[in-house]
Amino acid sequence: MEKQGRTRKVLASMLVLGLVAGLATIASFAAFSSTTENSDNDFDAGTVYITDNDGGVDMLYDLTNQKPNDSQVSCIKVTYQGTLDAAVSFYGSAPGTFGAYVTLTVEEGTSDSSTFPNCGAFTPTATVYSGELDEFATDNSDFATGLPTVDDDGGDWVTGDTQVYRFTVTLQDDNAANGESSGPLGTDPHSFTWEAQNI
Amino acid sequence: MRTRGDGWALRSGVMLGLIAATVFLLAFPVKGGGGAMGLDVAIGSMPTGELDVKPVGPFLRGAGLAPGDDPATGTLHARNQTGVTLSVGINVLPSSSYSDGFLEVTATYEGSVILKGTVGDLRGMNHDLLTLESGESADIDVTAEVKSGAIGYQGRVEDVTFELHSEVR
Repeated sequence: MEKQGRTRKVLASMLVLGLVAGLATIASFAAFSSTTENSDNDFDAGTVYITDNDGGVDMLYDLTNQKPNDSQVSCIKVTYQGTLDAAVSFYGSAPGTFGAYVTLTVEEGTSDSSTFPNCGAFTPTATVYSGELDEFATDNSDFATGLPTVDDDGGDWVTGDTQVYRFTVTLQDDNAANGESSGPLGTDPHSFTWEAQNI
Repeated sequence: MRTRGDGWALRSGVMLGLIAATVFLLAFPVKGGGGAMGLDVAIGSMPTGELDVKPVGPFLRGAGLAPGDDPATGTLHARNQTGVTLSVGINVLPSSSYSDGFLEVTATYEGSVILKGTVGDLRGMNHDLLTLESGESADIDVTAEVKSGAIGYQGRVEDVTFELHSEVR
């Protein structure tokens, strides 16, 4: 009987010790914990992308056998598709000396129905340039010297902005443009450029 | 030293507590939400140099789409503003890849399906979908729906850009 009681006491002591040891172990591993995470990081560049509606194959004008005061009117629509806001400069390449006998007028405006190189129902909003063709290229030959342009809302160019430009070229009434026996005179092939740079 | 009376008191208290909690839950139930969580989708477009695209921006919106729902619909208008004939394609650009497997898009032109599949299948350039003469216009009808059997669409938002591209024919 006394032996049984001692055994119980020993077992009870072991149980208490086990519980204390267990609690101590839990206490040793128990700790407050907290983390914070910043995930899904990504780094994408924006774009600067400007296009027009010439289809890459047509020119605004390709004239032959013109006489004094003959004119050609054509339109081109420029669209800004870049994601970065941009400044757009308008300039041209040299047309050669005959450019002195051609008057160039460039107007900006709106037209919902222009189909290159036709203007549709064009409504001018401003004159961008009016003068001799060769001087345009001399004075405006790159982004820095080019004529600053605005979008159809009159501001910087942002994604989806468009602008329609109406070109009028006229042969001046100047007999120096008459090639006579040497044959017809004319310009060198020349181009007009709209260059966008992000701002 | 606990008495028999204490035991009864304890059991009675527990029972009364359970009854009170049950009555409270039945009297003030939390009402279920009326709105279904589905997929919100928007499909938008951008103008290009060769094509006059309208509207610019979202032309299709669907809110809370779930499998079996009526598709969200929209129409995209494109006009060839060049002087040449163009072959037109659509670059499908979803904002994420999450909906790749269950957001189904269909584009129809003049009654013919020109584009159909999940945004995952259609992601990227889809060439030669239609031809437009100089000055010709096209109304492209677009639908978007959640594929049957889809899972994981609830509460998601997907923005898809239809970037029209053209090549001279």
